[in-house]
Amino acid sequence: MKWYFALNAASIMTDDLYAKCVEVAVLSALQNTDLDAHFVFDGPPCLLTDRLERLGVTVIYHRTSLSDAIAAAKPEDPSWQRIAHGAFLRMDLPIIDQQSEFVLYTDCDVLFVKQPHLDDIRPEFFAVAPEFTVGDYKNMNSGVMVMNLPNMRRVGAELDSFVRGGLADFPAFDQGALRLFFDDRFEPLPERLNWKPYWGAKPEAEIIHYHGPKPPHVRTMLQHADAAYPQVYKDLLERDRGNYAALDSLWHAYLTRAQRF
Amino acid sequence: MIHQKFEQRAPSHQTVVDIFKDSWATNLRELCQVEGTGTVNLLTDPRIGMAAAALGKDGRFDDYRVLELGPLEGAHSYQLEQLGARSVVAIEANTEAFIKCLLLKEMVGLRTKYLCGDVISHLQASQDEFDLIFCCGILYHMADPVELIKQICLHSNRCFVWTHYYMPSHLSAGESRTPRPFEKNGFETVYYQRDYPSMADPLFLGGNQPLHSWMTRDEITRAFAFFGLTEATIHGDHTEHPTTANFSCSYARPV
Repeated sequence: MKWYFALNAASIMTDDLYAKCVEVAVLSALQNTDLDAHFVFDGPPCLLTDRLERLGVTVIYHRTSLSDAIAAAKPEDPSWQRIAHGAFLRMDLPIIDQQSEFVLYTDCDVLFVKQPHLDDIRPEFFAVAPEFTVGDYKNMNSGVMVMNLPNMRRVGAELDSFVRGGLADFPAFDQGALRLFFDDRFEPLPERLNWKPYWGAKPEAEIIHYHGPKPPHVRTMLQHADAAYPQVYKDLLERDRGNYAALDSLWHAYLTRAQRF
Repeated sequence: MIHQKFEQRAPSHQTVVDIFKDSWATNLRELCQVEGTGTVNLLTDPRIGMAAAALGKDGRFDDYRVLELGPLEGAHSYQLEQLGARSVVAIEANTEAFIKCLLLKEMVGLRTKYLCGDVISHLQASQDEFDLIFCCGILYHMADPVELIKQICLHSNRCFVWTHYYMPSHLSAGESRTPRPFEKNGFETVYYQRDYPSMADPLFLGGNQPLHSWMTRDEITRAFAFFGLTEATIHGDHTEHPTTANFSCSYARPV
């Protein structure tokens, strides 16, 4: 199955946090899965895209179709615009890929620890796992999705119009828009495919999603109790500090290797 | 198989090699001063020198961390050490071959660390990196050779390969292989597969799966390139081999 992940150049200009996340995600996917990696990148060819292409990743240069609306929505908030340009890229997958039926999308801050079992997941539109709480599928997280591209394409114009109508107001960017537009029409994705570190150790987990603090943040917080990070990061870390610590060395081992390619 | 359970003679290298009497492939006569080992001169195998010339430094492996896949009886490990490798880890799935490696290690004092098990499973679970992966006589035994090539490329920037490859005009009379389209991580190719005729044969030296898949020479090189080792240097291509074509090639990631 094709695996898509997406980023915009602005996300990697000021620091290398997301570039590191991408490199770990790709190396762990190659090592542990058969997935066919595709990187949707809003930006010019760069060191990151060169490295990914050398690892067999297909790079697709693409700007979100909502770019004009994003630019107009909050002109006074460049930080919001920067994130929005990256977050909404996933919603263009039905436009970008006209051949595939079902694809896997993940955010960049994931770690593939096993071959994901996706054969039985065939949603009408998309399948997603809970965001903060195990079992709470109503409050879904769009960080990992199995998408039915032909069906998403069929409602594409309606979705586009809906998103443009409330772009500045959706909480959590695409996630808020998708929750509101599809309401009860999204389907459950097994939690093993979007397992959060703060949910504890899970031997059956296939994709670990660093929702909340990213691994470099976690390392700093593990080493320095007074590290200046948002309280929500600290609260998530304390939900299962031991599991975060156990994953820390694995994630950084992948990073060390990935940066030598 | 083990020749006899108890030994009456005084300890010597001969008593050691006689544990597997008449089942050694490697000629150990000169190195170990023994009789009755195999006929293949793997201790002076020129392929190690080819690898060192192409992928080493000044024709040696000084300071290299080497991973050897399928060491058989340890002769190549010996040569890798002789050419200066700082460390050699060697993974062997054939349990009898693994024990023979340990016997050679004991006789000549190798520093190689031998592991008994499946190479792909090991690499999938490993975060180790190597300066060279030496892959001689193993790729054509794999049920999923692309997975092995991928794992090699994820764990090293350099690989030496010697392998048989699929060439329909060079199959033995009556031998056939089943073509099967194959895809992994976006790399598409064709596997030419067959079942091993007899894994139960005591002299069987094939892979650890009942089925093995062959690829064409160019597809092997294309797979290495797909996963990042794009520089290929072919050292020898022997289509005159009595049963099957084979080639030696060094692969490297551009720096």
